[in-house]
Amino acid sequence: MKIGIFDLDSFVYLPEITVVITTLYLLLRMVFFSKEEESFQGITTSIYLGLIGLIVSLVISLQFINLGFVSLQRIFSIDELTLFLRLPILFTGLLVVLISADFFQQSRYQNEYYILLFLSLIGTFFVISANDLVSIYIALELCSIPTYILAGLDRNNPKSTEGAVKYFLLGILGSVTMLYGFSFLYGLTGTTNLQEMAKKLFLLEQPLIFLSMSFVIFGLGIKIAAVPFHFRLPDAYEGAPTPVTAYLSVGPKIAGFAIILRIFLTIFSPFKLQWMTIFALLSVASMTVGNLLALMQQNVKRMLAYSSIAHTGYLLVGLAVADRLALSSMLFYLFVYLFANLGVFAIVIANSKEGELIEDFAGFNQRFPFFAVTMVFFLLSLAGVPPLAGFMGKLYLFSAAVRSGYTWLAVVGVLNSVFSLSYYFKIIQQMYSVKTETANLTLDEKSRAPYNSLRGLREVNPTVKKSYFSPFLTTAVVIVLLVIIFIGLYPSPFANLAQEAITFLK
Amino acid sequence: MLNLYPVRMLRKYVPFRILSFLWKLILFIGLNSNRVYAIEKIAEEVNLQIEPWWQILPGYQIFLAIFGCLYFIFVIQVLSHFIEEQKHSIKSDVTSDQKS
Amino acid sequence: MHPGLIYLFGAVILVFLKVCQRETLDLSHTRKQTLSKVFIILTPLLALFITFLLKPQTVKFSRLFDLPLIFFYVDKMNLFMGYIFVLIGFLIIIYAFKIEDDLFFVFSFLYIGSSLGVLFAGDYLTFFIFWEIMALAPTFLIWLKREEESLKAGYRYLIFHLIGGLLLLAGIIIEFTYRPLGLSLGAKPFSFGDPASFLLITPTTKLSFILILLGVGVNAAFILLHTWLPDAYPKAPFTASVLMSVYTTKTAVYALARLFPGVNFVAYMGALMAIYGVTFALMQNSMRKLLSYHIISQVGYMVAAIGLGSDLGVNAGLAHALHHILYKGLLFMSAGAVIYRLGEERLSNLGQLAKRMPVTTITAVVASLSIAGIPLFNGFISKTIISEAAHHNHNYTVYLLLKLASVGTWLSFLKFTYFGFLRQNKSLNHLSTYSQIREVPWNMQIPMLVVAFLCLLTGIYPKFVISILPYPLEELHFYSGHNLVGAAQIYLVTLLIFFLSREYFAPHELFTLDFDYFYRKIAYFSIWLCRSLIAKVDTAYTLAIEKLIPYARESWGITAEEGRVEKMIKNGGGIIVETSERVNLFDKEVIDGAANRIGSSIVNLSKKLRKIQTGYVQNYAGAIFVGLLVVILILLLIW
Repeated sequence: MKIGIFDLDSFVYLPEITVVITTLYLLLRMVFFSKEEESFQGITTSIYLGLIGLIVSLVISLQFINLGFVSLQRIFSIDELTLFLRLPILFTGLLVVLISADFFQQSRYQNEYYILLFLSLIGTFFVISANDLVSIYIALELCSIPTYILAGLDRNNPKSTEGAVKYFLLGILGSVTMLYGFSFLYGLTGTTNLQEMAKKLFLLEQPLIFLSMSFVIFGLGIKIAAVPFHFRLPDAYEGAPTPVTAYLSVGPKIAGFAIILRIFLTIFSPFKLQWMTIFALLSVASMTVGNLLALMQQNVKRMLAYSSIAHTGYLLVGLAVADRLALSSMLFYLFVYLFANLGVFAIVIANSKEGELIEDFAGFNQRFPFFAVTMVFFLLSLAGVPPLAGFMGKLYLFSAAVRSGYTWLAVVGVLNSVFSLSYYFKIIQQMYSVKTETANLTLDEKSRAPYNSLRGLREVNPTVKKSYFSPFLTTAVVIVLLVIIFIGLYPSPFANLAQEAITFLK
Repeated sequence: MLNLYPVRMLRKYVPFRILSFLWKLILFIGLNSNRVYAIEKIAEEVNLQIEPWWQILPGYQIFLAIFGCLYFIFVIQVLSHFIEEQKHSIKSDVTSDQKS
Repeated sequence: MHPGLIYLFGAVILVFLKVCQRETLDLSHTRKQTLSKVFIILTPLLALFITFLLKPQTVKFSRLFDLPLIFFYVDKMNLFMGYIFVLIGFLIIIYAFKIEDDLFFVFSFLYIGSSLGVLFAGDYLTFFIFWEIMALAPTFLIWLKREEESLKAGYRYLIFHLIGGLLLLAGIIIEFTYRPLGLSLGAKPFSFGDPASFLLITPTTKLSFILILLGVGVNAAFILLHTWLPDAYPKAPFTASVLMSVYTTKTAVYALARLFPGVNFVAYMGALMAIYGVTFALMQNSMRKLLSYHIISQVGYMVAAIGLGSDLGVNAGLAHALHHILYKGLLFMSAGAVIYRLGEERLSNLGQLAKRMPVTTITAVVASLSIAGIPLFNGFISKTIISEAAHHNHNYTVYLLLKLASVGTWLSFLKFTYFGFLRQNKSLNHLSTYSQIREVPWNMQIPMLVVAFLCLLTGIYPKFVISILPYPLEELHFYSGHNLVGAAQIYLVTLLIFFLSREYFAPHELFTLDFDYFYRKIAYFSIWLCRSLIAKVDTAYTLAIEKLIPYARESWGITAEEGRVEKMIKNGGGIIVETSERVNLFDKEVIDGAANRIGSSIVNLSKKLRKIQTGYVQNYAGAIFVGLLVVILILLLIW
């Protein structure tokens, strides 16, 4: 709507604008003020400013959800889905900044880390509002490219570089193949706008459509780590610095699922039955393989990588069922999963001085009793134990599956959730066991000793904090705890939000 | 049905002498309102009050009190004796915490 | 906003504060204590504030898997009890403020919160859930004393209340299954998610009626279900005793008022409770045990009033509940004060406290006068209403029994105050501690004084209480000459008799026994039964085998199994042992084995599967392309 010459519709981009301004400010601050920061004191101000920007953006997004402020354009359209998905992205950004505040305190790449993080967030913002194939691709690349760099931020750690290279190569592979699929679609219909293409595609019966659909599934499957396409994930997660892993486990998933929702529910909606079957198979494979492989892992981050693959499987159940209830429960589960996941990573960061193996969690209860209790809560939420949020999410998801007749899928999902308890409990068991001194490590064990991610980041300032207690980390943990308990007891407002988000289909 | 309950006239005045300031205070609080028994209102019409036969006797409460005290004394005696008798035939672990 | 939830969240936050205090807050020890103390005061205050803002006729629904639950239902009856619960909760928390044990506050908040939850429940499921929490929380309060006797008493308390909870649950389930169709909103056939199917109304089938009555009766201390009360209350820490005396029984009284008003059995049970409680109380030497038996007695009053009649009776019962909470809390508080300062609660060793602990003595005297029903104090008001209800219902048996019980109450409280506080006990002057007795600290004095003042206030000016009663009370003439004369007769005569025979009533070390003796005998009896019966069967069998052995050895040619037969006979219970061995084997091998084998097969599968992740990007890309081909193939097939 217009007031004078001012088009008030552009206010609908205010959250994005806020985040962009914050990023630019951080960039400029890095350029102009970092010369004076010999002791890296100033970064704390930058963290606060980043947090303030994110919080302001969050408040504005919440207001817009209340107002239902939509603006449907050709290339980037803000509809109900966008309004909803802004919240997970902003919460992700908030929590990741909080948990990485102390981790990167003594690092040389601190500024770059935050810049890249924010750039990836901006990319994700654009992904969720993209309405055109080209804009989807551009936004996706804008989201992914900073993550490739972030995964390899710990330059002196060979694992990190290796993971980053794998992440990059396979990610590019996926994006390119997806683009190839998009090109088929453009060739068939002559337009790249999703709505117009949907109208035209409906009338065509070309075999190219299914080829393009399979390429798009391929590309997006790589992005969200569905099972035959998941291979880059464990190595990348293991190598990256832990806060980066935390972001990677959540951010690209939100972007990927947003794109899947947009593309498969508009363009490919006449072919629903076909892609529902594919997604059902992908979901079963992801859940099973993810949970099976997580059992044998000794490195916590690798185990969490496989666990996030399994969670992708659960999310894909919603897509396999693909009616409104299931899709809204999928969005709800996405929202819930991100909190518990970031909480778990926060605790892993708190323990990262000891190392990254599950055994390094021994005696965690003596070091941080409060974090041990909250870690139990987070892991139980991931496993889906009532009365926590993960249970509510899985309940909605699986009951939606049963309602539409996909009982077998729900049964597989429930079995897998039960099965996932086993490897989550490994951590809990280690946390509450008493630590014994291991004086003589064999060579094998020494080689398994963690490549402490800090080592690369410590190159300038060798003094590392004794323990990872920090007010930022505690704030993040407390926020996550409160949210998952609240959603576990009273999920209705959030479930209603998710249901409103699905109304973008009309 | 036979009316087994005798009826009597409702007394509308305080049936004892006002002896001291304390009583005056209580009566002041009591009489200084329009609170009346509902049944008194009804009985006003008919000028009747229904109550059990033993409530006619003024001072029946004295006998009630005496009887009550005697009853309690009696019952306590009986129970204490009974318990004394049983004391030696009871296992100690059952009753170790029953001392009072 | 549900005041019970405030208490429950307060308990959770306190736990977290306790756990957090070690490392996440960088404050000194005293500051952390202050933070806890702030929370401890804040929660009851907040609940108090919220309750006084509540309006009747508020209903909040929620759904749980298609079941509609009314977990917050406010009407005048609820609100009446709610006011007094939060008020006394606040005062007791002040009373117990200086207790160092944090867990005490956690469990007391759980207790108060869950009883408020029961109060404001609108359907049976919520009622039951909070009822169970209300059974569990005081067990921990009893155990907090950390003595062996308290442990045992706590276990007995828990078992008793869990049995009561099970009876309640059985009644609820039967009730739910058999709710008649007429209760449905609209003429639909009965369905699981029916809003009316769980409504908190009087049970409609006979069996569920009895079961729910018994279940509620355990908490209300019906006779034969009452033995937990005098057993557990004296063995808790003294502040916990104060707390527990208020909530369990009064919540049960509220449940009776809501579900079973006017039931004849309840009226007579109430009269029986009144007499029974007073009788046993007169025998007791320990202060708190005497007070616990008096709880039974006064709750009997309430229960009798509720069982008597409709509006007037329920009003009477609830008003008596409010007054009782006030004076019984006060009595337990003063008994607690004596225990706190002297460490002694046996009346035989007490006395002469009036000069040393004036506040305690005065409040104890006020409370004793209240409970007995002396005019000017609040017991008189509620006893008058109860008598009026009995009159109205023409139930003179109950009337007389209650009058008898009030005689006994007055007697035993004369005993309590006289021997406990007022008498000259020369034998105590030798005790060194006696000269050092001071009055209790301010945080204990203030609640006692406040409650004493409230007792007086509600006695002299009962309009406050009457205006918030659930049903409109016809104007009762409390201080009419009729009532005063009757009261004067009873109390003065009893006073006279007491003074004439006070040596008879003197407390001494006594050994008392209540019905729980029989309950404990049941366990011994069942063991004896097993031993005698089963052992007899077993010996009969082995005797038979003994006779058969020579025959078996010859005709069956049993040589290798000789040892086995001999062993069977030697063991005496051979068949049983063998059967149990076989069953055990089955359990270990088959059932556990299945679980273990499933687990190990999954682990093996995982070990094999993880080799797919080779670490080479080419392999990854190859596998991904294979995946792509599979997807294309599947799409081809199903297109």
